[in-house]
Amino acid sequence: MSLDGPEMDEWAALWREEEPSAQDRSVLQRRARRVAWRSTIFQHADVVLAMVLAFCIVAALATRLQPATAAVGVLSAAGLIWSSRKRHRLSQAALLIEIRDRTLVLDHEIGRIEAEHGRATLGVWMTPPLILTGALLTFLLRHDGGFAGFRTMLIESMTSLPAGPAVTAGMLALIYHQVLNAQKLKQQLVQLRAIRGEYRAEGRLDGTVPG
Amino acid sequence: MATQTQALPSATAISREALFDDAVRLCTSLIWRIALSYEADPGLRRELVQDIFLAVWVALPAFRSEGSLKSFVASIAQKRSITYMTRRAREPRKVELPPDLPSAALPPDEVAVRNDLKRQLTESIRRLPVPQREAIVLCFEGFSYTEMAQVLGITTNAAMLRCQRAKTALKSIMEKRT
Repeated sequence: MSLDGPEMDEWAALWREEEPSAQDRSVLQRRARRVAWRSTIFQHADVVLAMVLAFCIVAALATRLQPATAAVGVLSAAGLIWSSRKRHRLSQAALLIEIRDRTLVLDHEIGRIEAEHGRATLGVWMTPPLILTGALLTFLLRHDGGFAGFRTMLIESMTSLPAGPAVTAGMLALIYHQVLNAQKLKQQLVQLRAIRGEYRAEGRLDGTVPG
Repeated sequence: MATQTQALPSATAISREALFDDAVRLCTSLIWRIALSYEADPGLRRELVQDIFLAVWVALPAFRSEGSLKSFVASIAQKRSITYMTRRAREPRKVELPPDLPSAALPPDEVAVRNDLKRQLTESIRRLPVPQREAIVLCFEGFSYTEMAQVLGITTNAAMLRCQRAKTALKSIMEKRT
């Protein structure tokens, strides 16, 4: 197809001159050969992992029955299996092979990232109270005197060597990581919405989108 | 007796591995250039290309041989590049160019000029809005308007209009740079 004028033709020729170097091509083709078996493994790894976890819990139940621990373990395994299967289906759907309309593709991607952002934000807000609640419940189970002494116990456990500072630092790092993740997802949403706006604007110019 | 219409071969019939090998062999340069229009850093571009190969592999069972493999791969590559770009969420970095390699066809100073023009062209393409960027890349790759329409999920007329707007915008950006 000849483009408009010699300038465009020259630019098209320049563009098509861009080729991966011999080294890049070798690396790319080597990686492409690994794609097939890696993708199959990774697509099912989380589901397999969840099933292994479920098996371990069942095995633990068979040897030492503790109802509360068993209930938490079974619920965790069930939740993990459900979540990983759902994530797997969503990641497949996210490819949207049959859908070519870019705004539909972006709508789906935005919905997926919004859900992930919601989960990340919930994690940020829920992690500190959950940690505190867990510590409080443990304290109440071990002491008969109600809440008295909880604050002292909490500070001592966070600062006493050797494990206290390490565990405290780990929890803070976890919360920090969750905050960063939520921020990154929010930035991604802003960009996706901007790109969707560009497609809608182009659609209006094409005459395919009303307005 | 009427001849029964045979089903057109799909990716499952041809062998997914063979089709993927064809895609890698025939479309690596196309995928590389599509990735180039989104990512300036060569290392990250290789990652993006690998990501696109993965997406092509997963998508291959949906490929029907009545369509063009090149169009199929281009569509997957562009959609993947868009989501990749938003995941990166940062501006392209300036990348050190390799030294101009001597060309048997052109004197060294002309090679330098040509490489500089190529760099300006690539950076200008990255400055285009994403829909126009897609259109101009497909244009430069030699896709017909009908093929472009299939890849972009729009009408042929819309593909033609979008391509014209992309060319105008690209000319404007290139003129400002020179």
